[in-house]
Amino acid sequence: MAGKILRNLARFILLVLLQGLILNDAHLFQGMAVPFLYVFFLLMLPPETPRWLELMIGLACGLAIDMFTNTIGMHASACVLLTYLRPFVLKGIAPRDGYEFGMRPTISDMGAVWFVKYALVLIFMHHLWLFFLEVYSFSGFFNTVLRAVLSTVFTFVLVLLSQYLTFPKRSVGRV
Amino acid sequence: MRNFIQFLVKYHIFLFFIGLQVLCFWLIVRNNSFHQSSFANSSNRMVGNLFAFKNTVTQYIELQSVNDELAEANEALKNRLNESFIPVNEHFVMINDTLRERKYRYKSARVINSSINKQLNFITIDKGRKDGLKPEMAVINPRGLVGVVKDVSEHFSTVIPVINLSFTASAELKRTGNFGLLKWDGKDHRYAQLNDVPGHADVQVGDTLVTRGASGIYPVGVPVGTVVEKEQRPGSNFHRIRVELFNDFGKLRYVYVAENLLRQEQLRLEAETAEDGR
Repeated sequence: MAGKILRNLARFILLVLLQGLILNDAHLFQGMAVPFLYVFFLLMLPPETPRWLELMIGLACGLAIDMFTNTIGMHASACVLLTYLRPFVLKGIAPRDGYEFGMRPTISDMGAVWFVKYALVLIFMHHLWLFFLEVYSFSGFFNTVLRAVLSTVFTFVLVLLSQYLTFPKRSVGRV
Repeated sequence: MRNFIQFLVKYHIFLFFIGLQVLCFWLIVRNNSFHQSSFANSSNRMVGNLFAFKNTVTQYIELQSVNDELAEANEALKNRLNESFIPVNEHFVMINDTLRERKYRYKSARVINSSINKQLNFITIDKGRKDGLKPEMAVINPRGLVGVVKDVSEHFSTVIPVINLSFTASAELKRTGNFGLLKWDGKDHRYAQLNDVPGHADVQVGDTLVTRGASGIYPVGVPVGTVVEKEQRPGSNFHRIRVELFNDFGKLRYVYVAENLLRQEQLRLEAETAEDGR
C-alpha cells in the first residue's frame, strides 16, 4: 500500500516536471498538436482509489501544471473532469466477468484493445474540455476540435511509449 | 428533509465534482482580470526558479544568434553616442538639456520561459519588482514589439506576448498613419491581425506596421510587422489585414522592458476630459 502511494507520488513529480519544463515547448503543425503527457499519471491511478480522493488528486495535478503555464484553473478543471469520468469509462469498457481486484489499468494487465479504448476516450475528453476553456468561445469550433483531435493523437502516442517504458511486463511488485 | 438528505448522499460525488468545477472556473475568471496577481503562476518563487534553472541549461544553444542580435543593437546605439559626433562649430557647447524630459526608461531582461503552442501564450522574464518592474509596462526587443507585463513578483515577471488571445494594442501603418487594433487569431505564431482599419484607407502589401502608443503603454513607433495580406469583405467598412510579425516568438532570449514615465499624467488627463465631456 505504502509502496503504491510512493510510486504514484514519484510518477506525479516526474511527469509534472517533464511536462512543465520540456513538453510544454513541444508541438507539431504550428501548435496544432500539443502533447499533455501528464494525464498519464491520472490514467495510471489505481482503479480502487476512492472517488473523492481521485477528484482531489485531479485538482492538485491540474493546479501544478497550471503554475507552469500561467493558466490557473484551466488544467485543474480539465483534470477534475477526467478523474470524474474515469470510473464511468472503466465501468463502460469492463470485461464480461468484471475486473479482478488489484488490476492495473495497463496493457500488460488488460490487453491492448482495452487500453486503447480507455486511454483515447479519456485523453480526448480532457483535451477537448481544455482547448474549449482556453479559447473560451465556440467561434472557430472546428479549429478547436481539430486541435483537440491532433493533440489527442500526439499525447496518446507518448502515453503508449511511456506505458511500454514503465510497465515492461507483469512485474513482481504491483503498482 | 429526509429526501433531501438522501439526495445529498446519493449524489455526493457528483456534487463534489460540481463544487470543484465551480472553484476552477472562479480561479480562471479571477486570473483573467488584468491587475489581479495570482498566487500560482510562473512568476512565483518555486516555478520561477525552476524556469531559471532550465534556462541555464538551454541558453547555450542559441548563443550565436543572440550575440549577433546584441551586436546589432550595440551598433545602432553606438551610432547615437555623443562621441560619434564631432562639433559642427566651435561656438556651440554641450549643455545640460532642459528642453527634453525623459519619457521612457528601459530595463533589459532575460526570457527564462516562453510558449508558442497555446492560445494563451506567456513569457516569463527574470526581472521583477526588485528591478522596478510594474504591471502594464511594454516589452520590446531590437526586432520589435514583444508584449506587455502582466504579473510581477519579487524576482520574476510574466509577460503577455502579442501571440496571446487576450493581447490587444493600437498599431498604425507607418506610411499612411491609418491605425487599427492589433490582435492574434490563435492560429500561427508568425502572423497577427490588424482590425478596424477603415476601408477607404490605402493599404498595400508590404507596408510596415508600428505601435501607436495610444494607451501610453508602448513607446511610439516600435516596429510590429509587415502587411502580407489584405481583404475587404463585401458589406464591411473595414479591412481585414494579416500581418507577419517581425519577432520570432519561438526564439526570444533578451528583451527590454520600457516604462513610460509620463503615463500616469496622460491617463489622469484623459480621465478628466472624459468626465468633463459628459
